[in-house]
Amino acid sequence: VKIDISGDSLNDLSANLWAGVLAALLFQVGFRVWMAIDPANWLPAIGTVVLYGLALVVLLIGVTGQANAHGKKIAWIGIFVLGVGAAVLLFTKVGSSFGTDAALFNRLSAELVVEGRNPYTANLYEQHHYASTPFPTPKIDGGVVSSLSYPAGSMLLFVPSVLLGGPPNGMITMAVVTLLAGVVLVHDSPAAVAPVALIALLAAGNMLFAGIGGILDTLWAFPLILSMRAWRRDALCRAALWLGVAGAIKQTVWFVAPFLAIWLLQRAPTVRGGLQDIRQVSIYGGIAFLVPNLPFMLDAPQAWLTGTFTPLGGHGTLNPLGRGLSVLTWTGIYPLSPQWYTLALGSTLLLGLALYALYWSEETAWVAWIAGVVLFVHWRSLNSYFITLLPIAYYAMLCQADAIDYGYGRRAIRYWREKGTVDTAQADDRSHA
Amino acid sequence: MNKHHLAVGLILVWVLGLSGSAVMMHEDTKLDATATVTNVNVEDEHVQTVTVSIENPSSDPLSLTAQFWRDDQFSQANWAVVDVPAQTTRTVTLKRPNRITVPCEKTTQLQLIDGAKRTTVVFTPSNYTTAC
Repeated sequence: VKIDISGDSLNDLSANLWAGVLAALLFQVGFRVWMAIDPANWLPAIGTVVLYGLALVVLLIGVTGQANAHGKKIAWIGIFVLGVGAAVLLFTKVGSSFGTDAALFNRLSAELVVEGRNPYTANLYEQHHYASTPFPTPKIDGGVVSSLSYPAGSMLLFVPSVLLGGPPNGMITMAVVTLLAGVVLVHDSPAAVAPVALIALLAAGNMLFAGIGGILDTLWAFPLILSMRAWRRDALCRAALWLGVAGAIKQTVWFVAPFLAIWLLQRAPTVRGGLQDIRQVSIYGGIAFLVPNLPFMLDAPQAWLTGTFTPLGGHGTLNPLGRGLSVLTWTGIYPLSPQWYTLALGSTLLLGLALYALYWSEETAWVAWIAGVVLFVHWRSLNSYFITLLPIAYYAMLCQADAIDYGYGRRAIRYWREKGTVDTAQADDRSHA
Repeated sequence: MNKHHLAVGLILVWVLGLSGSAVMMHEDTKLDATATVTNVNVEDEHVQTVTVSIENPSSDPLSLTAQFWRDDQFSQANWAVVDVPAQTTRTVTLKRPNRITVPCEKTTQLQLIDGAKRTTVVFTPSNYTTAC
């Protein structure tokens, strides 16, 4: 039997299925909240009812074939519920407990900056004055990482929280940035697939709650998504600025730069034109990178380099850890030397660049995803590296399909412009008649 | 040669290069020492101390970092440095470090590390001397 589904009905089916997947996810989150029900605390009970109820509504929309028309509303409600969930967490769990040493280091570094000191030259455990100490990052020599290991943008984002007296562990900063990322993803999604934006944020790991718990990767993913957005509109300078911001927050983003250079070279009609574009993008991206980093680079260049290159040059100093090929080593199944991982990282990057130049260089947005592939062969390939790729990959798919919905305001402007054109044309027709 | 041939060639070189170098750069990280957990003390549903007997059969002394892992690998944390003289068995009791809580229902590991070499002892709640 041949099943014949036309484009429209396939589109509808696809939207309804995504609503079903989102409902399944809401059931799962609801089940986790239900597990936390405690008669002394009404929040999990209310949360369970809301999540199961919402899942049923979403499922109802899917089974009645309405998801294509209402996908965006579903996604906005989802973002709203996430926001409420985050607010509840912030009100009930505000404290000074830190989920990761990265969150602790960012906070302590931001405090040092407010005091006028350079955090890259400090032993942050000596500055530590909170009751809670997260799990440290162990080194092979038996010590632990005790200095700031990210570019300065990461910790500077926590300075407002220090100045305004926010919760020390940066929960509010992380909640705001993650929700903003969700808002952009949903806003730019066409209605038929808008629920997938939520799935990308929640399915492999709840990025909002993980962020509140100290996983900081949304901090760089959000500006990277904004960069992809600008890139898709050919706004090179704006895209470069956002890319520079993302790179000023975490080193992962640096891997994207050589791919973009190839793209800029290949899209230009001449090599000279391509080089000019690269120069322009490098200037804008460089400015965005240097503004937060330069003061610390100038003050203590060696300390900045040591701190910033700790994760990248961690082969042989940090303990192997992760989900990628480092599994072979840290489990003892087939231990490989740190040098092998350096070789694997470099060669994979080169192979990726060659394949990109050969096949895919007319597209740019999806390369934002490339760092995950490269980090798969890194000495340390933490789960968060890969989970963070999901919203980025989702946005790349929208770009690839040229399916970005640039929003209500832009649609309204376009509508009035087109209306004006039609009115003028009709008036012309009438005058000719 | 078209670009597909070039791409396949590059991928082959990459796979063969990495595989070959993986054979050459394989490290024998097995520590020449035997470790046996003889006692796990649990209080307040958390592991507090682990007593471990470490045998060093080699003619070189060992300076080991004892590192504790919970079944969630993010929870790794260092415990202490243990010196074991050559051809000696030493029994040490390792205290829970301040920075880590060890719920007793977790399957746990103790890794003894000497530079790049390490040996792992896995112990489960069924091995605990004190009931969870």
